[in-house]
Amino acid sequence: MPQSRSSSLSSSNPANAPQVRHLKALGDDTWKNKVEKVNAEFFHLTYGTIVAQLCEEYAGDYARVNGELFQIGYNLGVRLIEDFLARTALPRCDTFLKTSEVVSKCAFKIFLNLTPEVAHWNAARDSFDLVFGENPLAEHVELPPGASGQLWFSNVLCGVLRGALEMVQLDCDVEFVSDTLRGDMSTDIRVKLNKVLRDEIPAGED
Amino acid sequence: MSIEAILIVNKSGGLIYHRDFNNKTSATHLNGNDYLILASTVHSVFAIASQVTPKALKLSPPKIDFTIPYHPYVGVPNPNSSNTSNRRTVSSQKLGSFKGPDFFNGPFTSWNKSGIRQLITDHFTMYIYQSLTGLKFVALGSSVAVLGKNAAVSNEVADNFLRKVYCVYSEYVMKDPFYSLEMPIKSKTFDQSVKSLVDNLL
Repeated sequence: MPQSRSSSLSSSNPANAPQVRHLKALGDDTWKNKVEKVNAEFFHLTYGTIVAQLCEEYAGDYARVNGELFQIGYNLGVRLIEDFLARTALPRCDTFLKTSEVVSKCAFKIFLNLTPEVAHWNAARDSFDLVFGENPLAEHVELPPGASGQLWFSNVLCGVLRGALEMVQLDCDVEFVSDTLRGDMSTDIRVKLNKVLRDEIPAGED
Repeated sequence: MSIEAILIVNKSGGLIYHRDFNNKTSATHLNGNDYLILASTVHSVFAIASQVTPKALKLSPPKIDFTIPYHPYVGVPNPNSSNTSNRRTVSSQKLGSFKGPDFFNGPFTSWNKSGIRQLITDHFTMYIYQSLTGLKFVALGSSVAVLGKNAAVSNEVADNFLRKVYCVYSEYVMKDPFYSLEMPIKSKTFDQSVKSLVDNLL
């Protein structure tokens, strides 16, 4: 697969730096001062229970489990976007680059207290990877032998991203490309923009 | 009371929530169907208004600042206020997953740039706040410039207030597993939270 692998654009583009710093400050501040916290362990264990239950119910049909997790995520995402927008009131992203920074510096920070790195932009600038050091939802997880190579444990995140971006008129494909649970170096989510749904942008925005 | 009614219109123009805060039982009261028609009319007029722009603005688009200043404690109890007798105790009032005494604490950008934001009549004022996802929050105030000294300030306060209604919506409607998107809201917690926002308005 030929792919131009440039380093993160955000850090290499100085004109963009103040904006990125502003988004980072906004994400940090919102997370710190405006969001009620719960124990992350509680969240991880609840998610683990759901995945384990799905694996059991679908008797190891991991493709189906992936699909179901994605669907759960999608349904979460179309609702979660309202929470995100109400909290941050960020203006519409004019470039996909900005979208990537908002997702990594604000959205992941506020909801999961993580800041994935944005990397691996393609030449057309419509696809990037979110790089997590570890799998974000799988702190206590080891995949069963049959599942490794098939199950994307945190696939719910792809669904969330897809659903949330769709509600702000960005039609994207979101998928995992690597996972530390499968023995890869890092956990990467690829976000690829198919189309901006211009017709569906609400009236009055210009 | 300064806010008489609150309406929420979904992105297809359907009314999903309306509530009257005017206790007077008057003969001119609108019924449910009237509100449905009113909501879709607001939706259409909003869309038309965004299509008509003065030619001067089209020829040389001015740099308009759509930032809305933050007005502290609109619709939530002020923790610094000494006058707490007629308000609910601050500690018992939680803002869901929103931390701190207020939902947000800084200026924000309006998403509604070319649609109707305010409609002033002799008897009431209507304020519209639209979210990035196309949801419209409409507040009807009982008199002209009810929320501030003049129309501009009143509109800023209304946007602050309606963003809080949006926050409450995202909290109690979006996180309700039994709520289906785009359908009428029948949540008691949401109803109560909106009511307390309105009651806390001076």
